[in-house]
Amino acid sequence: MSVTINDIIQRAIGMSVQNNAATLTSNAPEMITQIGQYESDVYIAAAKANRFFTDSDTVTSTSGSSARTADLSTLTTLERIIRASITAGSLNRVDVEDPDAELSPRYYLLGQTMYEVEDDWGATGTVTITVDFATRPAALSPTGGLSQTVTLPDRWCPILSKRLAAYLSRKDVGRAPEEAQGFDDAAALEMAAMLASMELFGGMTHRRFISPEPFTPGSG
Amino acid sequence: MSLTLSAVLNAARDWSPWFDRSRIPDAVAARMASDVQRDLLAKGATRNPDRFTATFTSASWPADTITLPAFERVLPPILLNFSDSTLAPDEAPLINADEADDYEDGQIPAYTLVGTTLTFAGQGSDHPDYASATVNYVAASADLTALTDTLVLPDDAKLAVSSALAALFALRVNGMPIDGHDPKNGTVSVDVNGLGARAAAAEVQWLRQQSQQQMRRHVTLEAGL
Repeated sequence: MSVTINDIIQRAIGMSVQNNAATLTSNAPEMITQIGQYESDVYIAAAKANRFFTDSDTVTSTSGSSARTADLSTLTTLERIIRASITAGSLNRVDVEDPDAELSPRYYLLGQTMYEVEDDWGATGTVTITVDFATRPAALSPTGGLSQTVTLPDRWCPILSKRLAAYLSRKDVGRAPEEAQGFDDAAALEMAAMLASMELFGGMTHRRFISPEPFTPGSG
Repeated sequence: MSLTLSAVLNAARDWSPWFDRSRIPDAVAARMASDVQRDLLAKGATRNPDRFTATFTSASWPADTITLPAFERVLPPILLNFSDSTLAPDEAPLINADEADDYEDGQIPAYTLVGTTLTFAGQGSDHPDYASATVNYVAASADLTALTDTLVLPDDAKLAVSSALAALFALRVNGMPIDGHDPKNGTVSVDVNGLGARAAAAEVQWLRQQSQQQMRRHVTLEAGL
């Protein structure tokens, strides 16, 4: 089932009779922006913890024989690159200041642009780069109306509605702060359950290494 | 020989769950593997040079100067091949450069070796019966720069190479922050001495194997190794 922005708002309103005041939720762009941010937070957490929300797409590099670039901003739902590859194999990401950290073929990132190290990407011309990536949700338009649907599957949408309920509670001056904290705690529980479910989904992973994967602090 | 860089790196990484690519990138491991290979090749070629011998033959005669490919060591004598291929080649010794004057009359063909250049002592044109010169040498190992690169070491050196790499990996990762960032959250601890001892044992075993292969041959003269 596709869940709309309005569905999220109605569920949040239902969590407290004090949310019935129409002025709390009447500003549609405000509601859409808030829910969009909560949804983005969910996908960032998932991208750090597992590979549940993923996609694959291609980009084409500039032409040339070396120092080619590829614009990743065209991949509008790219949250985190898992693997980038060309026909010669997987590209190794290095830092612009330490290209010798890995073997060819290599790239480094500046902003959302992928840069070829030396002439690592092969023969002269454009290069098609396949990017496997953890996704972010589709962007919501603040002026697009409440019928827009969120990307997050319905089973985990209570995270969004509980966070919105906490927001409404804080917005409504005079309410006990414990109420908002209760909604936040409930949302955190839902988030933990979602991450656990994603981890459990694939069963046991056989790993050779104890590594800082999937997210290496300071790696970026 | 089909031992690839990928194969030895995989084997070396198997020694510890801490030897992942985020801590030891392939390029770092490849540079270590290049050094390990050079070291083992030098030691192995000392014990059993024939096993690692490559041959270089000059395209024509006179071969007054021969520029060799990068080598670990040259294995004299230089073979002087006759135009008549049914004849066994003459053997030209390798002499010191400061002794070249004694051979310049060409009566006894000889070569000096300076850098990577072999120089005939005298004039090759004084020996028109020769057609070419053949040099046996142990080639120097090139740097390994791709996972598909093949080592010059034979397959039976795999354990010696991988365990030597594992010992180097241990030195690199020991004490690294487990989370790759903050040592307060714990540091990697590996048995550096144990892996070092295992690497030394594997190297000794492989070198012993090379010596034994040389010793089992029937020779009429002392090899002078």
